[in-house]
Amino acid sequence: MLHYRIKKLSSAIVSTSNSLIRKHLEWIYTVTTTKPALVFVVCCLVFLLSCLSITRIHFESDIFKLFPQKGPLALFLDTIKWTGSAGNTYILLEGEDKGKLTREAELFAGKMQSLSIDGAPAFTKVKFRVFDPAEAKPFADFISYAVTRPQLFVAPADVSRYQQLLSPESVDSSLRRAKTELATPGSLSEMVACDPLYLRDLILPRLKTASEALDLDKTSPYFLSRDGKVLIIIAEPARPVTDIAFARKLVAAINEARKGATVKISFAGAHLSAVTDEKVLKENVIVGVLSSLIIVLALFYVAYRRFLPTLLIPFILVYGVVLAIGTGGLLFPTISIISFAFTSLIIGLGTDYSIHLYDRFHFERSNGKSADEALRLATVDTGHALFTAASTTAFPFLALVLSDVRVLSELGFLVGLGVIYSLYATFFFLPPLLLFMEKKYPLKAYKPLPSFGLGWLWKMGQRYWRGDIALSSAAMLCLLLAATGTSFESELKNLQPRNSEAFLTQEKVERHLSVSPKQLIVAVEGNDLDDVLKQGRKVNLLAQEVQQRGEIVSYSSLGLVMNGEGDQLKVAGKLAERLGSAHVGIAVNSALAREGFATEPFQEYVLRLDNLTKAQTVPPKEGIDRLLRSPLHGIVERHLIQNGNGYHLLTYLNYRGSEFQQAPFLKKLKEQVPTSRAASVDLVSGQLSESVRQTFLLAVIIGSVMVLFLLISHFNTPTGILYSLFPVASGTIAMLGVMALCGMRLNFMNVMVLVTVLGMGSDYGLHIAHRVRNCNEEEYQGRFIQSGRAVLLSGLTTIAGFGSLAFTDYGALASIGWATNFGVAATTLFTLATLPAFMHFFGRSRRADDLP
Amino acid sequence: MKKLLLMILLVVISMVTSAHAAPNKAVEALEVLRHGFSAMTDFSAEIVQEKQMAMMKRKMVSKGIVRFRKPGTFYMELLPPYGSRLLLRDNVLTMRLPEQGVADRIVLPPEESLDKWFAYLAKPVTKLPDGMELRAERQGSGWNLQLFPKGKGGVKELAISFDGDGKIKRLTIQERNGDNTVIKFANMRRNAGLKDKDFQLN
Repeated sequence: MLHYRIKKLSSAIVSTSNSLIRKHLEWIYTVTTTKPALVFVVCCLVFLLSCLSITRIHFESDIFKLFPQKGPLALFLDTIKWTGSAGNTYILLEGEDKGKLTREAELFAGKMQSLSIDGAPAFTKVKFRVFDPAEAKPFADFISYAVTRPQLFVAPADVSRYQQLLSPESVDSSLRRAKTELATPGSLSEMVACDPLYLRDLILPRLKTASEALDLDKTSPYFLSRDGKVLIIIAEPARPVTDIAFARKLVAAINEARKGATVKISFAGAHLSAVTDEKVLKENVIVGVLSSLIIVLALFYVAYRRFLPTLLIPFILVYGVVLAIGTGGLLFPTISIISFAFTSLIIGLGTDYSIHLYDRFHFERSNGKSADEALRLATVDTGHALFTAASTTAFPFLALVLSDVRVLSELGFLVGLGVIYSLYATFFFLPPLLLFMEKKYPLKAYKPLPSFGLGWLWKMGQRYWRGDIALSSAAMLCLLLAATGTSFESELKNLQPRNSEAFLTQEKVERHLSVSPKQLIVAVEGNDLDDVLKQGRKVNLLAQEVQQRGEIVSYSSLGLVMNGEGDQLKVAGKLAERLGSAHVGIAVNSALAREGFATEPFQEYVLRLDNLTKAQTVPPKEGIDRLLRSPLHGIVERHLIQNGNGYHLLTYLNYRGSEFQQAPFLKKLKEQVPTSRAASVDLVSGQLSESVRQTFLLAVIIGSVMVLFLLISHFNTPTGILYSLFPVASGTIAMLGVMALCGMRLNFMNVMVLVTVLGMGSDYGLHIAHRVRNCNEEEYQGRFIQSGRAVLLSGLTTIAGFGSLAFTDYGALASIGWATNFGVAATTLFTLATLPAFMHFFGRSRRADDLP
Repeated sequence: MKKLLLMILLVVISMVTSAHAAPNKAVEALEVLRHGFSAMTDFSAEIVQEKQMAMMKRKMVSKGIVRFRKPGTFYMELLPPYGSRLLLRDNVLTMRLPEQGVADRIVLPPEESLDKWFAYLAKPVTKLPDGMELRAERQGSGWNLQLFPKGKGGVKELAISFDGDGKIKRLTIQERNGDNTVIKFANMRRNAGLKDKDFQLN
C-alpha cells in the first residue's frame, strides 16, 4: 500500500514537473514569437544591469587567495607577508663565468639602486652582497657587544671553549695573532680592536647558520650559488604590488635596464607576476576564447549553412557570460582571473543549445512541417530535453558554490549560471531570428542535413549489437584498469604558467640557491615576548631531535643565536664556577701590555671580561634590539615578527622529502606547544587536497542526486535513465584511464572536470533517448541521426571550447582542458557508438515481453 | 681592503717606470707610470714595513718581500715576528698566517680588483682618475706623488716617492684614525722571469 502511494506520489511529481516545464516552454515559444520586441528590450535591460554590476568587480590574480585562508596555508601566506618575501623582486643572473656574473651583478645592482619611477627611487633596498664594507663599523659594534655577553650568545656546549680562550696561554696566542693581522696590509683592524681575543669565533658560526636563508658560496662576498652559476639580487620595491601602475612601470624599467647585459638576467616576484602573469593569462584566455569561438562557429556553419544563426551564437554566448559575471558581481567583491576560464566552457556548452534547437527546426522543416510547427516542436519538445540537459549540467557546477576553495566556488557559480543564461538566451533569441529569416530570407527547400556516418553507426549497432556491447564493455574494462593508475598532483607550483619568467626564475632559485628542497615553518605566537621565546625553545628541542635522527637537514631559529633564560643561567653559572677567582680583566690587561698593545682602547672590553664571573641574565629584548641595529638584523626579521597581533616566532626546519616524519613531529609539537602553528608545502598541499576532496564529494553527491532526479522526472523509465548514464560512466572511466596512460595526473583543478563530465555527459544520452522513443521503429534511425548529429556537433564544439584551454601556458587551465577533452570525446563516442546497440537489446527485450 | 689595493697598485706601477717633467705634474706622473708599466712583465723587491697604530704602543716593524707578475698576480710576505703571506690573484685575495695556522680567502668586488686599475692603465692618462685627488712634485731626479681618496674610506692619504729610474723608495699610508704605515723598498728587480713557485702561499 505504501509502495503504491510512493509510486503514485512520484508519478504525480514527475508529471507535474514535466507539465510545468512544458507550460513554461510553451510560454517562451508564445512570447518570443508574438512579442519579440518586448523580449528584446527586457533582455537588453538585463544586459545593461549586468554590465553595471561587472564594473564593481575587482579581478584577482593571486593564486593563493583562491584557497581557504586557514590552517597551514594561512601561516604559509602570513610568513610570506611578514618576512616581506612576497613583495620582493628577485633578480637572477646566470652564466658559466663567475667573474662575468659578479661584474654584471655590480653593474645591474647599481642600475637598480639608481632606478627611478615618477621621480622617486624604484627600490628602497637592493642587496646582492653578503658583506657590505659600509657595514664594517656597525658589525664590529655588535661583535663588541656580543663577545662580552657569553651568557646570551655562546651556546652552553661552548662554555669550556670560551673559558679556554680566556686562559693565559690562549690570550697570549690570540694577541700574537692579532698583532700579525694588524701588521698585514688589508686586515680588518676594527675587528681586532673590538675583540683581540677572537671570542667571536664561538659566536659568528651561530649567527651565520641562522642568517642562511639561501645556500650560498661561502667564499664569495655575493649572493652567489655554490655551483657559481647563479647570482641573486634581492630588491625591495618602493611601492606595494597593489599599485599596479607602479608595478607596470617597474617591470618596464627592469626590462629596459637588462637590455645589453652580458649574462642572462631574469626576475621573479609579486610585481612581475601581477603584471606579466596576469597579462599572459589574459592573453591565453582571450586567444583561447577567440580561437575556440571561431572553430565553434565554423563547425556550426559547415553543418547547417545558415549565416544568421551562426552569427547569433556569439551574441548568445556573450549574453550568457555577461549575465553570469554580472550576477557574480552582486555576490563576490572580487573574482579570480582563473575563473575567467569559464568563458571557454560557456562557449563549448552554450553553443549546444543552438545546435539542438536549430537541428530540430531544420529536421522538421525538411520533413515538411510548417515554420511555426517546426519552431514549436524545437522549442517545446527539444526544448524540454535541453531544459533537463542544461539543468543536469548546471546543478553539479552550482553545487561547487558550497566549496570553501574559492576558485571552485566561483567557477561553479559562473559556469552553472552561464549555462542557464545561455539556454535562456538561446530560447529568447533563436526562435524570433528563425521566424525573421523565414519571412525575409526563406529557403527554397530545407535539404536533409549531413548524417556524418551516423546512419551507418545506427545500422552497425543494431545489426552487431552483441559485438558492439561486448567491445564497449571490454574497452571500458581496459580503461578502468588503466584508471587505477590515476594519481594526484599536489604540487601547487605546477599549476602556474609553465613558461612564465616568474615561474622559471623561481624554479632556478629553488634549484641553485635553496638550502633544502622543502621547509617546514613552525610559528609560536603571543603578546608576551618572554613566553613566546620560552615556547620557541621547546620547538627547538623537537627540531634538534628530528635533526639528530637525520630526518631534517638543518633548522634555524632565534634560539640558535641567543640563549634563553635557562641557558643564560647555565652559561653564567659555568663561567662563574670555572673562572672562579681568576681575575680575567687583570690577566688580559697584563697580556695586552706585555704584547705591546696600548691598553686604553681596550678598557671597556677588559672591564666586561672582568665581570664575567658576576654575569647576570640579559633580557632577550636587549639582545634582539642589538641584533636589529646591526648588519645582522635579517636574522631577527626572518625569525621574529612583531605586529598588531603580537609576536610571531618562526622556526624553519629544512628537509628533503619523505624521510621527515611530519605527522609524529606535529603530534609532539601540538602536545608540547599547543598554540603553535605549522606550515610546509606538504601540509599546504594536504590541506588543499582535503578541501578539494570534500568539495568534490559534495559536488558529486549533490550533482548525482540532481541528475538522477532530473532524469527520472524526464524519462520515468529505467532504460531512458540507463541511456543517459551509460555514456557518462564510460566517459568518466575513459577520461581517467586515458589520463593515466598519458602520464597526466589529477590535480586541484581538473578533478572538477569529473563533475563537469557528470553533468554534461548525461546530456548526450538524454538527447538521443529523448528523441528515439514514442514513435514507430521505422523513424528511429532518422531520429537517431538528427539527435546524434546534434550530439556530435555539441561534443565537437565543447572540445573546441575546452581544447583552447589545453594549449594555454597555465598548468591549471591546461589540465582542465585536457581532462575535459578526453572525457567529452569518450562520452560522445560511447553515446553514438554504443547506444544503438543498447537500444536494440532493450527494444528486443521489450518486443519479447510484448509477445502474447 | 681598498687601502690594500691602492697600496698594491702604487707599488706595481711605480716600480716599473721612470719619470719625466711635465706642466700638469700629476697627470704627467701617472702617464709615465702607465707607460713604464706597459713594458714590464714582473718585478720583486725587499721591503721594510713600519706600522704605527693607535692600539699599539710601539711601531710594528716587519721585513718582507713583494712580487708581481702580469696580468694580475701580487704576492707579499712579511717575515716573523709578524709573519704573514698574502696573494692577490685577479680579485681573489688569500691571506695566511703560518705561525697561527690561520687562512682566509676573500673574493673582492670587481671595483676592488686589480683588473679595473689595469684597464685604466691600458689607455694613455689624460685626466686624473675619479674618486681621488692627486698631487705630484719633482725633487731632483725623483718624484713625490700624493693621493687623497675622496669619500669616507679609512685611507686619508697615500704618498709614494721614487727616483728618476722609477725605483720606488718609500710608500706612506695615512689613515683617518691616525694610523700610519710606511713601507721602504730595496733590491728591486724587474722582468726577472718570476715563476708560479714564487707565488705560492704554502
